[in-house]
Amino acid sequence: MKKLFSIVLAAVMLLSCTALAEFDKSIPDGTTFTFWYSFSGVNEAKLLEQVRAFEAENPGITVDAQYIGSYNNIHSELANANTAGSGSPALSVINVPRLTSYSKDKLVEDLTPYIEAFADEINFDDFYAGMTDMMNNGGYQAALPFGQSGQIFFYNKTLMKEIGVEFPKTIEEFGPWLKTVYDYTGKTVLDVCGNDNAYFYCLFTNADAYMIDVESNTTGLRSDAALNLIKDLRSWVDAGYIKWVDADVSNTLRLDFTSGECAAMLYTSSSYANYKKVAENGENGVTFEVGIGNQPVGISGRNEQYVAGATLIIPSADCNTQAQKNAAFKLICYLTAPAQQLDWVHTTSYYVTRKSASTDPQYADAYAAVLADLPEMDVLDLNVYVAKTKHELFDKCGDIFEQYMSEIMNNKGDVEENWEIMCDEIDDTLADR
Amino acid sequence: MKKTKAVTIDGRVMHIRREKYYWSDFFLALPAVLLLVLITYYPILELIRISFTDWRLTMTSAPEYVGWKNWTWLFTAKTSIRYLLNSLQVTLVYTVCNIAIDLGFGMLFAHLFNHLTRPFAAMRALVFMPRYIAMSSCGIIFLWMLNTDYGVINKMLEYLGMTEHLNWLGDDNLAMVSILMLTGWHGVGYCMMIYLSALLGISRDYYEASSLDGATGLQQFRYITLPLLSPTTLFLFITTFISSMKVYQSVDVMTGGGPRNKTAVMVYYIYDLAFNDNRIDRSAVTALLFFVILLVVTVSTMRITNRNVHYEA
Amino acid sequence: MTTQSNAKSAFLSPRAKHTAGLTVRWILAVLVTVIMVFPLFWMLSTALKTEQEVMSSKLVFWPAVIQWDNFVYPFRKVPFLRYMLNTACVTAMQMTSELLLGIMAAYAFSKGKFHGKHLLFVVVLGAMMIPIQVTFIPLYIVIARVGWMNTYWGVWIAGCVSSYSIFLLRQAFMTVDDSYIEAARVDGMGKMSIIFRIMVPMCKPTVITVALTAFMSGWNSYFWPKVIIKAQNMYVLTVGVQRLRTSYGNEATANYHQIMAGVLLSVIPVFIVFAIFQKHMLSGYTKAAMK
Repeated sequence: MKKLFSIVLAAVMLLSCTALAEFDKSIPDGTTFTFWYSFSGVNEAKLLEQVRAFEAENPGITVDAQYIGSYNNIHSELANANTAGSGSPALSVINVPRLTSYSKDKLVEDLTPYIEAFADEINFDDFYAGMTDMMNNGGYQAALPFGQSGQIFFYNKTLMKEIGVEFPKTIEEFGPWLKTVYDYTGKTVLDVCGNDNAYFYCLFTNADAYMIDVESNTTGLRSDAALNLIKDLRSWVDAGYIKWVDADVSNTLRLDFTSGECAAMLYTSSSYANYKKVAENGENGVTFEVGIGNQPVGISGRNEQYVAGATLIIPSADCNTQAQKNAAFKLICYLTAPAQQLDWVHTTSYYVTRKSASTDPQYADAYAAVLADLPEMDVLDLNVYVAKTKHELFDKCGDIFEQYMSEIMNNKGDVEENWEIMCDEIDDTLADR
Repeated sequence: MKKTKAVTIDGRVMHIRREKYYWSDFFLALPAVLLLVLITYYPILELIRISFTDWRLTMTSAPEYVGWKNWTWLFTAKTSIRYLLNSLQVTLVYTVCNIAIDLGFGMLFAHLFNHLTRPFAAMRALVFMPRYIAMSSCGIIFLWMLNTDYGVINKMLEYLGMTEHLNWLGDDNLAMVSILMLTGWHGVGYCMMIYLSALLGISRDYYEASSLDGATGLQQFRYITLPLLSPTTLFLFITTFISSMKVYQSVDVMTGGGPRNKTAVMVYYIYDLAFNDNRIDRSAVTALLFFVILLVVTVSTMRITNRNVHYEA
Repeated sequence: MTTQSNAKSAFLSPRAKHTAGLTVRWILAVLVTVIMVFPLFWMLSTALKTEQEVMSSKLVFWPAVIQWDNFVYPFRKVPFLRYMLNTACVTAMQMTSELLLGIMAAYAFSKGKFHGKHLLFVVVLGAMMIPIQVTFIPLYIVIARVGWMNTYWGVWIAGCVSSYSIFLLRQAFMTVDDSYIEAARVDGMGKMSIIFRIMVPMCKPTVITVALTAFMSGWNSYFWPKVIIKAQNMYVLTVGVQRLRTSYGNEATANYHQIMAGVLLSVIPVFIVFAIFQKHMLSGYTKAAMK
């Protein structure tokens, strides 16, 4: 009897606990919240249009959308607001690399309970797993994908047809391809964005060299594979095939590519619409068709691609009420829904984040319209995208990585010597927490 | 000097002590001092407190006191020493060059434009003009002018016969030169104006007298102008020194500390520690060390130079 | 050296020498001016181009057709007039407080007598050495607690007083002879009247210089307003100009033509103010610099 009683009691307690833990998803009328974003130009106009449409659909919610600046600006403002204990927005845009430390410090809400509570408004499994994984830190869903972009190759398709070569798909094909194109044009073949490791990092991981080996807390770049890759890249730079751009990058790449000074470039996928427009209209003197290429498959056959770009977070700050956070999540649901995403992608040339956008017949027209304008999007296989190493010092180590790569590529520093110092420096950084 | 002074007020003779202190004078200075304390000294006290905690800007829990840990890090950790020495060196190079450019060209331009006619006044105004424009805006135009392949500067150098394009912002040494170009362009007009105002204050008699003695222009400059301008030079030296040591905005717009930290000046490094690494605790210790260095150098410079300055009687 | 100049003077009459010197001075002065003005010219020419001309791989010195439209863009894209108003308000507030507090403090430090005068002056001068980029976080926390985020007061506070102005004014006030003050005191003038009716008029050039410096630093401040102001309609010009950027995928900036138009529009008020007060600038620094 006693035993039964205690079991019943325990059961009741458990039930009441669950009842207490039940997520309060109410959003009273008149809820207003602040939303920080980083977009400008046409992207901003499209975002604001969608936000206004959301408000029209939800008359009880008002969104105060504020442009803050670059991701770095948003980051420092979030840190400031956190320190001051006031002024945090209920919803913000931030880039992927920040998320690890944000979730570790619990600066942002874990979105898991929100996703469960708002299950009828958001289908979490419909996102590409590689994207949401990147934003998940040990079960802590720090963000949801919004304006995702990749580090991809753009190439002059017209020129490739003229020469009669295909854009290389594996790293082995790269050297011969560079030589063929160089022999034909006599100009730089490939411009690489060298001031952000994200662009060339994938070449290394596909060669099994990871920047941070979490187990040993040292760098995985201290491997022959990494050294050989650096040597290859350097020899291509020396031969004039590759131009390693580390200053005023976006302007230089854009001008080099659209004026025919280089045949291909490694940069952010979100520039696609713009390059395409300039190249196809011949605004810089050369008219050509723009092609997109994935990061090359490594020698071992490894084919990892990474996403970067904008995500949506809900800061955990107490200065916003649960109702405001709920309203913010409702806006996340709205903005990340397939219909809105397709519209957004069409303007911004970010990646489609939802699987159903390309498979579900109800979006077929919208998807076809996107492909009609941005045909090369089809080249990207978003299913092979995976999460990068999640480590709060990733960015810091990445800074060191890109510095020494510039030293080697542009300053003609000794490869082995600089590579050695680079690995030491990354190890020091990792050791010093 | 007498201790008291007799003043007649309303027919009565009153003795007022010269050394009398007035509370009213104190209260005149007080508002300004209090506000300065609030906006500069209070934050420093806070930084001292922060330097003993483990405060990261993104953490949501309260920071804990960790004793001298950050100070130990500052002076012993490899990661600290490497970047600290680098940024001290960069700051020093920038400061020395910037002072040389601002003061040197300032003095040169002051002599050049020391001609009291309308066209020269107009040209003076034009040379001073860059200072009107916010550094944040100037940086944008310089960035574009200095672009390696498409910037107007390299295009003009090409026209002058230079085949190789200079990688202004990406080259180790040129990046610093680029920043110096921007800040020099922005600041030289100010030094020129101050030198000019000092030049106008020098009596013509000195020159006329020395001309009669057969002194050449160069001798006049060396033995009359330069000594008489030395208080001005000291004033400019100290103010330019302090503002150069504090340089941030131009670096932020132009290079973001790069390439390879070759332009990561102290303030940039301190800001970067707080916001890129989120380590405001480490940023605080570094900042405090920086203040001490700045204070020591400034005070000793003033002490040393004060002896060599000629004040006009 | 001497023989050379002697030889020269043997050939050239003093008048010819003077003319030669003047010609050289003219040539050099024009050259320097051209170099110094070039970035400004480039700003103007960029502001008048089309995007294609700016972003072309060929160098375009002057636009084929002048694009006045670029100057309309800032007003259409953002509440540019509102930014101007905000900037003017904050600048006026900063000028007022900087001058008032500065003049009072400068009098106290030059002519006043009180305990701890030298110590306090060192405190004032020491503040010059501390860059706001390093110390702004504690101040920011205070402002946030007081509720001054997104307000003029919040922007004002960081530039409300300047040790540099106090220093310049003090140097100027020191040159005023004590006898004037004694005489005024005998006439029954209060301290405030002495300051504002004797000291200020006697040091007018310095006061104007300090006012102009305050104006310029208020108008051009960027770092602190950016931290304090989040609301669109409270932006100041320097921050607002950055807002004119159009980027592609958060990366590139290509609309230099429109940004430069915005920059030029934002400096027009500064040019006007300086055109009016330019002649006082020269004399303003004399006293500060000579002692």
